[in-house]
Amino acid sequence: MLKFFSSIDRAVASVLNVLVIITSTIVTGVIFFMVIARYILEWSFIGADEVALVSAIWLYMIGAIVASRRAEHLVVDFLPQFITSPMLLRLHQRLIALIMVATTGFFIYLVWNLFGFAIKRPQETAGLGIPEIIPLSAIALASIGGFSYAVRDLITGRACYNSTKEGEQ
Amino acid sequence: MGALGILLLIVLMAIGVPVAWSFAAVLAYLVYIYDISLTTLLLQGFRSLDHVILLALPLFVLAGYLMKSGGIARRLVDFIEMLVSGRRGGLGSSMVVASGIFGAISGTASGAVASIGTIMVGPLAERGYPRGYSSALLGISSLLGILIPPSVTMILFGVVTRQSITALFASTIGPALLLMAGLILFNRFCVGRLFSENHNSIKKDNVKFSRWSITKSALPALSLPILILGGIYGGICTPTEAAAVAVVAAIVIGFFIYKELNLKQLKKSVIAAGETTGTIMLILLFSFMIGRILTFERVPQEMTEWITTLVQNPLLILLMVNAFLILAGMIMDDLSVTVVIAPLLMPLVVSTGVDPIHYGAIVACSVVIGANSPPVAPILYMACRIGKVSIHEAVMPAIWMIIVVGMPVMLVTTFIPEVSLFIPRMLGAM
Repeated sequence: MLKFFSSIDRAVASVLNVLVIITSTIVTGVIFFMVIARYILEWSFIGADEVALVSAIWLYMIGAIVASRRAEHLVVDFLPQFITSPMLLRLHQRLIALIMVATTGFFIYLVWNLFGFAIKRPQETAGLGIPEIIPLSAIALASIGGFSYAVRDLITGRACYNSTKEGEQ
Repeated sequence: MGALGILLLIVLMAIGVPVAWSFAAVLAYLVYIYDISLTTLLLQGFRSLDHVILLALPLFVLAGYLMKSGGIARRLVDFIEMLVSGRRGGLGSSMVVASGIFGAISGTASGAVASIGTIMVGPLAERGYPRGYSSALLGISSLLGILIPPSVTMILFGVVTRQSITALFASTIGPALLLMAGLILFNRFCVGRLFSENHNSIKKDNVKFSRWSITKSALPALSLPILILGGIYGGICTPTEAAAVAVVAAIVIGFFIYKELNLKQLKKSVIAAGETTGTIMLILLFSFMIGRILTFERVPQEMTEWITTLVQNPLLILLMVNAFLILAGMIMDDLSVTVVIAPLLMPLVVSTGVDPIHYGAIVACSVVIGANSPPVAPILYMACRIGKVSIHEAVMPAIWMIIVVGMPVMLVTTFIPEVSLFIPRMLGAM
């Protein structure tokens, strides 16, 4: 059973990594192309910023799922560093995971409400007519991803922070 | 009731709930107590996130990762070390200056800690610098990345408070130069008094290279800050476009000039940058929604009215704000201070006649102090991990650096507006 879940996790990780690479390439490429187009080709690409923004929202949200999967969300790990008893530490990790399950559940509820509204009143971007539901789907995916990994942390008792990481500022 | 939300945020973060999910919990609390309609709340958060200027953030983060893996940071350190070698406190000073130049490209402090720290901590120890001291110096000097443009912190502050990013970038140059000079002088004072610098034990890896070859090798790396800042302030491109140019330039330099970047490292850097961006953006998404609720419920205005009934003297108010920002930075992460606490205090500060751009510089200085002040000192902890030293050994040097250098820089920035406003005005950014 554990082997099965591990192989699913690896497959999910590969898909997430590919998505991060694709979206990062689009964001960088499109913005860089806008500069080149303006100064060298003297050409204005209408809607380029819309493509970059839609890709960026996917990049942000997939990045957030990758961080949840690798337990690398920004954490103030001051308290856990001072807990020496293994039993207390396990208890602490379960408590944090439980809070995360509740908050990610709330995030899903928010997304559910948003989708109800977005489906009733569909909107598109002004230039290329990209449906707003496309970037919103990324937020939905992030809410489900966050919830899934919070449940994983609750069941396995895994720490929701990585003590060896080099945090970001 | 809104203030209880901030208290809840502090408690959740203090017990170790990831910052993003602490924000989500506070949002749930605010939605409950203020009975907010959920139909469009997330849509408003999404629309705030869907902003071109925010694209600069993932791009500068990616540029920072690429600089580390592409050998750019190493060339910068070699060059600066060459300039200051042989002088008292030269190696410590070169770490400060290298962090500053690195900050002028990457926009993050952690990028500087990881890149400059891994290169310099070993040589510093060999030369007799105590590991606790060098880790503390690394921690505080890497925060020049927050002050020297482009700065991710200033991008976030500009987006949440709707101020000009270009002006905000320029406003922190003055405080950054003061901090840099202060740290160099502090280091020069300590060397020879608190510990002796051992010049005989220097492993001169660069001895076989001439000064010219080191300079020539560093030129592409040194061209990056000119490319980014020149592009922005020369009116050639926006900060977002400059960030994309920085990424492409870092790839070209890493791949074709230094030949230290390969596809595997590129993939690793892109994924790591994506993950970092994701953690920041999720926090930002929730903070936008929290900010909207607090603004709608007039919490910042009520707080301003309440404080101004207690204290009327603008100087005292500014001192209180300084103290509050530092305290917040001591118990919260820098991102939370920038996107939640700082906007809350903004109406109060503006009511004393402070320009919002000037306030941005004050916030950046407080983040520098907060990120190095225990108990929550993410950058100091990270510097200690890289310096392979216990936090206890680095705390006292860090506190001294904050008291002797960081605090005075913050006070000067707060009470002499020209320190932060002179450069934006000179560049015509405000």
